[in-house]
Amino acid sequence: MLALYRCVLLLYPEICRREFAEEMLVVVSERLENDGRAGLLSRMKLHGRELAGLLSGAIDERFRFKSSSYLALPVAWRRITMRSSFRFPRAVAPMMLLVLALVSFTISRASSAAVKATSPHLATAGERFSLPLSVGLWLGTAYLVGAIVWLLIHSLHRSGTQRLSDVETWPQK
Amino acid sequence: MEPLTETVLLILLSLAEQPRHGYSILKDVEQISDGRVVLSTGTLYGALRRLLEDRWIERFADDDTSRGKQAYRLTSFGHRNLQGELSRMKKLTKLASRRIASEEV
Repeated sequence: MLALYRCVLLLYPEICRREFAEEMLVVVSERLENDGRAGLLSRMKLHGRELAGLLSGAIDERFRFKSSSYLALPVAWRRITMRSSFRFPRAVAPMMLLVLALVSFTISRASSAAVKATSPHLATAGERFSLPLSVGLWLGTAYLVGAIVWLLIHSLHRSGTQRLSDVETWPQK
Repeated sequence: MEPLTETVLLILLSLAEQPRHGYSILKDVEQISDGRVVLSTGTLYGALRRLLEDRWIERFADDDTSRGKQAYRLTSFGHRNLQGELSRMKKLTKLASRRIASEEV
């Protein structure tokens, strides 16, 4: 049974797993040893509660990282931080980019089809781009722009520019 | 400071008495809430992680480290904040009692 709990713990972000997984397994096994001796129904309730708790905990940890540990996370788990109390799920950015890429691809195909219909002798550049290439290009460009913006923000953060507003220009009485 | 949830408050109250391991916290919370609050391990460690990050609690090197057990205790910062939260609740209770009493008259 512990193997199942070990598998569920794999759903936690790596940073949490490293810190707490073994300890959590110890607590789960201790609880199963001490509280899991009652009837079948209460054993099922216990397993249900523990598994539901671990699953919701894993989801919670995936969607809520403190900004302090933000840089320590692998790139795949970083998300856009809008305010300290609110964060977009990381799936939003790729989904929006995907939609944008699909819309742009559809527009280019439609315009090339229109040109083809009116003047078939004109070769269209849009036809050379397939859907996966178009999506890939969009994602690549967006990632590059994101990396440049992140570098800018990071360098500003390191130089302390963002704290200029906190500078006390005259002594408080 | 945002008001604490009942779960976090009970965990802090459990640690206010003495340093405890994960399982001991679970049992104590169950006991002090008269069996009303039964935490799962996932919920407990989610709360412990946030409390550790906010420096309300800290790891404590206990004698009993069998099977990889780790004890936690309140920091002085956590203790101060817990007292602040309790005094906020006292004020709120007093206010509520006054309002309800005046309504009854």
